[in-house]
Amino acid sequence: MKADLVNTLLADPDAGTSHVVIRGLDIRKTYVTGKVETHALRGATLTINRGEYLSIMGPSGSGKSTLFNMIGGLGKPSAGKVYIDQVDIAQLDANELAWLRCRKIGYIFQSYNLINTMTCLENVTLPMSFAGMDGDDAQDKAVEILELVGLGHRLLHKPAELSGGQQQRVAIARALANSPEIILADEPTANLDQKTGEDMIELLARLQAELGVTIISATHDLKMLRRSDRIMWIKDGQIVKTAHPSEIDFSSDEFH
Amino acid sequence: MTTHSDNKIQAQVKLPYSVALEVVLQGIRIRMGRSIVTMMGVVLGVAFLMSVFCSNVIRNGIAEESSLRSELSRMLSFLEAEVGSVTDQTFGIVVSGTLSEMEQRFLQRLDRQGVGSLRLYPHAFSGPLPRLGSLQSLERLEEIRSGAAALLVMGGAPLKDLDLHPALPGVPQPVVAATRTLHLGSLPEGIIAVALERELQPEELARAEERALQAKVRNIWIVTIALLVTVIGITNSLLMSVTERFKEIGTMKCLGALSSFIRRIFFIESALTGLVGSLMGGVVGFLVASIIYALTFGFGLVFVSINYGAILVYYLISVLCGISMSILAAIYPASFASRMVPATALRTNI
Repeated sequence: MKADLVNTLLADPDAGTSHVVIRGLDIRKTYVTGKVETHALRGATLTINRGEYLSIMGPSGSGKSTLFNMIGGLGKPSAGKVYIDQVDIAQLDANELAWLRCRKIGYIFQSYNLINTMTCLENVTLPMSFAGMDGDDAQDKAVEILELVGLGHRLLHKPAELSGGQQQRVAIARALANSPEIILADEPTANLDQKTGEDMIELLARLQAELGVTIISATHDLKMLRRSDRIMWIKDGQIVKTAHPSEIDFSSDEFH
Repeated sequence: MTTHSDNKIQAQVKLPYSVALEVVLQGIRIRMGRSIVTMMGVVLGVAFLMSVFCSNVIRNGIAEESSLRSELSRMLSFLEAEVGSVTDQTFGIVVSGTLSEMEQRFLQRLDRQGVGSLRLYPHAFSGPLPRLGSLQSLERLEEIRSGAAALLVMGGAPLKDLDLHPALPGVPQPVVAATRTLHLGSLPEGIIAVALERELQPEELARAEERALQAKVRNIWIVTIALLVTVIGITNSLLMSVTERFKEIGTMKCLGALSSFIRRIFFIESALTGLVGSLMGGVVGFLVASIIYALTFGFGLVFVSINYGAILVYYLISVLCGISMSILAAIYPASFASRMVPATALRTNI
């Protein structure tokens, strides 16, 4: 039955999909290290709607990060297709991929990945300068975004001088720099305290509601799961289940 | 914040060099320690190159200076063989054309020997004269009167039809010494002519040339090896720096940096380190070479005989060499860094 679904989708991938922002068809990814092959994804098929708040759950080693990389245009699948805004990313050259990563997608990494040699402000203006934005405009916008995430008083600090939560907020501000349509967040609240975590969830929810930003996050945070529109489970490189939070019993063992 | 109305995917904009330069400068400032280590490689390489160059210049300078000094002593003793000690004696000098360095130095030598006075008549001469206490510049040839012990004829131009008789010392057989062989033919009859110039034998010249060639080949070999070692050292250091920055490079790529931007960062960084390192290395090389020679041959001889023009030229050559070596060394690390897939860069935990 699943094979049938894949076939129909392959035959006409764009049929009535204007509300679909990301579509993955039978994505497979195999990493080869020496003689060992690791199958990180074994045919994941998924559809993500525009403006939706999607949470992805899965144990470590389930292929969650690889799936993130594939749908975020950070790597190319070994087999299968990834469409972002109805464009097959396998068809894009390096320059177009860079453009896509720069403007369409904002990444929030679990380990922040801030550039340690730069101040908060410069970390946020960096993607803007990659997008060709002029220095003063970029500066003003970056200050505005940093104020939005509550770091208006730490503009000129280096990441090493900030707490984990503050660094995470800089990372979120950086993801918002080029007003992306999609935000990909890998455990965005994992290193935050209760209060800041809630603030961040609130901020992401606001971006979704007010600007129609699509938010995709890998998370185990119950508050975040409850806020999302859909929850997707990934296991052994495949999507095994999709459900609305209302259908789920959050008190079950799986969540503790 | 607004979402993009234009959904069409375009090619990413190419950034100007100034953005890359800014990123590089910031990086260097923060990672000063590593930059200094890389730079030390360049400093050492260029210092070695420069010291080889300088040793050559200094050695040549010393050889020239000491042969000049022995020539001057020889000339002086030739003159003294005819007139006795030059101390407190008066000499008439006729200069025609320009004075060579050796002739100027000969005048200085006479002055230092304590001659009474040097009465110089410039004939068809228009250069600066050495400033000497005993030197008097004359308007007319006749003013070299009979008190002179000998008449010296100097300069590169032939005397032609200048009549030396009014200047000749009033003794039966006056002494006329010429620093160049070309003047000997035009000297008047009835004098004692002294030729101060000595011509080098052809085999002597050939031997000197052969020695110079051997030294050149040896130097080229040593310098090539040293520069190769330097290039490999810089490459190694830059590769380390790439590995250290895997995550940073990956992050930049995720944020939309083009491979060319990443490549540029490493090239600019290497060229900058190369420039600063070479500027420092050149000075270090010069100082080391000159001090070593000065300790062996004496400070006076070395610093007097150095040809500073040649040193400056070699300094520029060394700096250019240092910069090009740094750029050459960055080719592999830069392309290695720029080829990295963003996801790979992020997965690496270093």
